[in-house]
Amino acid sequence: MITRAEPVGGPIFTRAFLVMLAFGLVGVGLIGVRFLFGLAPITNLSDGYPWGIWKPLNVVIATGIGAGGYAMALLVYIFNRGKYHALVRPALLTSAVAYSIGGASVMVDLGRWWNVWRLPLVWLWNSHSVLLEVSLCVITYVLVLWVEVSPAFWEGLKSRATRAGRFARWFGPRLQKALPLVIALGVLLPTMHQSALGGLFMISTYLHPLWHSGFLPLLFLISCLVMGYSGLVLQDGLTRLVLGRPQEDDLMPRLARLPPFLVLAFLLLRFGDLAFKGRLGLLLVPDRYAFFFWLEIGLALAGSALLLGDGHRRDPGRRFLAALSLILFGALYRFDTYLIGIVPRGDWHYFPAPAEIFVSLGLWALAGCVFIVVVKRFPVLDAAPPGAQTIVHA
Amino acid sequence: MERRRFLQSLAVMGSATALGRAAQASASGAPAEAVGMLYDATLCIGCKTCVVKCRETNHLAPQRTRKDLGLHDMQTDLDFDTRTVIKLYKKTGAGAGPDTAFTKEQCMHCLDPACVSACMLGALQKREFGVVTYRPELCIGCRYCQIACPFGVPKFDFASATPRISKCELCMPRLLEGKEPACTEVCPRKAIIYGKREALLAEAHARLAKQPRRYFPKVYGEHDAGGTQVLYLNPAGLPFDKVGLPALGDESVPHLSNTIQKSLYQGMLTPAALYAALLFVVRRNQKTEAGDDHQS
Repeated sequence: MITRAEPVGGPIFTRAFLVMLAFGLVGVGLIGVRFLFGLAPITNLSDGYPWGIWKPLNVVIATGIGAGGYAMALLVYIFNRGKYHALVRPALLTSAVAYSIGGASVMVDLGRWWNVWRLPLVWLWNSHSVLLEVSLCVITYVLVLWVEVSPAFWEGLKSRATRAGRFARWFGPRLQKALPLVIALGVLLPTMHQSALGGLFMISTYLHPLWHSGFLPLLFLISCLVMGYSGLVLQDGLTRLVLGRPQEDDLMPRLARLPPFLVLAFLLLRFGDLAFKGRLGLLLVPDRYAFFFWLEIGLALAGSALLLGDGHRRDPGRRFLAALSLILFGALYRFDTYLIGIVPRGDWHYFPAPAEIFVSLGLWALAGCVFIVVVKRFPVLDAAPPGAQTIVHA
Repeated sequence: MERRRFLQSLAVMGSATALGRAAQASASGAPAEAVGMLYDATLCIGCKTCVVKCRETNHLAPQRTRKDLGLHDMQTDLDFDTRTVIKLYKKTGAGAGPDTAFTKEQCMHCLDPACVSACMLGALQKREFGVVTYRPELCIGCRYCQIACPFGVPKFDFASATPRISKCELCMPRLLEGKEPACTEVCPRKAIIYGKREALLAEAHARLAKQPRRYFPKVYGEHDAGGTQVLYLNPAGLPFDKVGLPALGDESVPHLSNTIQKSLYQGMLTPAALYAALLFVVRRNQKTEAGDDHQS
């Protein structure tokens, strides 16, 4: 793998970093309370809403955004678009960090977490359980992602005279040889678990008919690709703004051509499925379900429309806005499936407790901290290509 | 049981058709030894003796949803400490059917249970007599069973740092001793009775045939959700969805999920083939890329 990546450098403990770290520590404290006293003291979970905001927000939406690594691996390694190579490493780092949030959040959410060690015991596996598939794939994929990111660490360490440096010089090239095995796994596993994240709800009778469908796996797969590619555009914009990185003028506009096609496929499938089942009438019912459905569609269309036309895709501001809109579309579709579209049996209500929100904020903030430390100290982001426009940081 | 399943899954990995057959066998019809209960709402007087006895037998704490009522044990719904509950139906507005009726809730012990299909490591499993049982040592507390069960039966102890799932297990320890479940034993009106599912089904149909004007003309659970081992009779004019027994159709609840999972994965053959294909493509692309890297 040939890269021209370099560490960004600069101080770690900026004011923004310290704010994020503070949020992270609050989240960790609350997680401590949860492990000592159970879920009830800090969450509003109930038998009617056994899954609150943690699953949709920290697992399903985070890994949707984290599908950037999957989306790029698909493009570069499978469809052989080598010119995007420079984007792979930052994408994988975002994915590794996002999936780690998901994994951590699940551990906090699991009631009987001490039994998790039994998950790898093959003879216990229930092959019908979609959630088992999700768990095993996600656990393995988190490891795969960090292995895929790790060349950045070995490259960063190899020039040092320490023991770590010696290990990096020995291990780096060996890993490079075995990497195709890992890369192929890095495409297979997300294909499986991203579709399964939608497939989870095929079994539920509590999901509103606007969302319940045998196509949930395919719709979730497409939505993760929309979010993944849009996430890369967003990440490019953010690293440019926050870290003063040079603007990516060639690849990003090209990459931004993809999401509208995916959105088109998504919408055809979504409306076709509803029409086939005779459920289109539900779209005209003035209730919150129809409202959120149309909000999804609106975000999808707005984001796609902003990206039509070559000139428009070259406008970084417009691109950023489009990516944001498309990520919100994917996130809302997933949030609706996991929470808003749930119609519990009986008189149950749910609104997240403050602590649930702060745990989520804390996990996302910690993820941001890890991302910043890694890109500042290790070669992840692409070095400035010759002639690139550099934003001067005031 | 586990060993059998493991061997089964090994066989499945060898042959995609074997998987189809295995799944069919488990989904079609009730096992011969299946037991169950029959609840006749026309006989129930709402005395809740069954609820009290259930609590006592399963060592569950008294539950006081309405704190203002002081000493009374006033459960209004199933919860972690309440594995069966009697509910009162009241007619709203005019129309056919009785003004009031009782109904009893507990696990339905489905023939093809969604919770068992959902459960990752088989903590919820159909065991002897087709009873859906819970083994906490295999449960990681994901609560997917609560998402899956269409009857809202599995309940979770959110207030505990070492929580469990709680649900009716048809008094499994008593069944193994040759006794009947606590609730059927104490019912003074025999509104809830225990027996083999086949026999209970025959009894239900006999009652319908004998007094057609007394009953709503259907045995709930005979085919609903693919069939359940707890069966219901309602008074004439009172459809089952009015007393909280949902209209689920005759297909089992996990049917769609199981079918799609099965066709996508074919006993892990599809993922294995996909992995091989991906590996081939990745390797080939790496070679070509190394060849014309100067172009990119």
